[in-house]
Amino acid sequence: MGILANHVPTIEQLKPGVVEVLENSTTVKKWFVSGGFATINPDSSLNINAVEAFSLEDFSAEAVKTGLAEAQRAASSGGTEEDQALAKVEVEVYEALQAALSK
Amino acid sequence: MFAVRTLARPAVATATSLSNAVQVRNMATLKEIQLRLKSVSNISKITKSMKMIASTKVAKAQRAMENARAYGNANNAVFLSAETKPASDSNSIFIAASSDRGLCGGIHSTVAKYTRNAIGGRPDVQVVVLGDKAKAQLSRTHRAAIALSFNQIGKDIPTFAEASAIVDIIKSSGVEFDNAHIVYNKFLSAISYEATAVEAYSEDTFKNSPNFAAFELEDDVLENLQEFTFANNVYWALVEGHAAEMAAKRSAMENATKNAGEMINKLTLTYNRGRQAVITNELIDIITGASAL
Repeated sequence: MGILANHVPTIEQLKPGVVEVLENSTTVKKWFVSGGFATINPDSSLNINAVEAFSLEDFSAEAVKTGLAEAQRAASSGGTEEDQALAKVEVEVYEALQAALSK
Repeated sequence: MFAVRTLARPAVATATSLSNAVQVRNMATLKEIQLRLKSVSNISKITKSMKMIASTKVAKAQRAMENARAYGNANNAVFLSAETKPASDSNSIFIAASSDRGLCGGIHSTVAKYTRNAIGGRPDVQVVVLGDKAKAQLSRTHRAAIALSFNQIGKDIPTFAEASAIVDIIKSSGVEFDNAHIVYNKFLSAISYEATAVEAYSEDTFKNSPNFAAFELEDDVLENLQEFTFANNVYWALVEGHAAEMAAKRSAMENATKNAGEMINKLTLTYNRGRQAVITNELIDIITGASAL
């Protein structure tokens, strides 16, 4: 979703993914965000509340690949429902990370 | 002559035995004072090191608090612009955010007093207590009102994981509320803090807020939003309360060290006076004895 000034006030839930901030037409800052909420208020201010956010340079593709493989294994290997759900969430996050890094 | 001599000796004997008793008593007092001096100086070493530890923790806690404040304000901006207000007869719960640790000044009693005043005379209000010390304070007056209590809080800077675990347990325990007042100590400066409350609302209260229609949102988002904002506010209260507690601990330990230092000075003076008295008495004995010969 793209947000410009004077967007309609909205409350959106965010899945783990990349947030791009265009400070002006040349500088773009990207962060990988762990998930949270974005709210646009009637006074045109945008608040993004996320538990964790890191700039994309801080991630290493190798670590992401190994992490993804482990999470996929844990998701399919069974265990309690909670463990499986946790592992599925991990898989989602890692897949989003990989997609973000490869772009 | 003979009589004078015999008369003289017994007098000397009693004088010596009396001064011996005085000496023994003074020695005992001297020993006591020495013991006290040693224990007070040990205490002052302990409080001084506690003060050092607390001041390093304050710096870290303050940084975390700045972040948490920005986070919490962003979180609550939605409710501000939606002008959410609880209904006048709403079901409120109070969450008293404090910690388990003592020796930090009046932190726990401030939170407990604020909570007590805010509850007023309302009979059905439930309280969730975070921290053993706050629980002890509140159980004195509102034992029946305490629905849940958490401990192991305040050991380190609170994390969002802790806050979300707390919210999780509150939800699963079935405590229902329309709005929650989270009472915590707001950090004003390195030497002052005050108790305030931040609000968290239920889905229905948010849906009924005057400006709610201005926002576009999908339906299933609302429950997640409520849980997320609740956890955010609990996190903010915990982090800021932690910073206030570290600052209060630092100033409490500083006062304790200062007081211990004063006690040491006074005790040292008394000790020296006692020591000099003993020496003077011994001198008197010697001189009296010498002059009697």
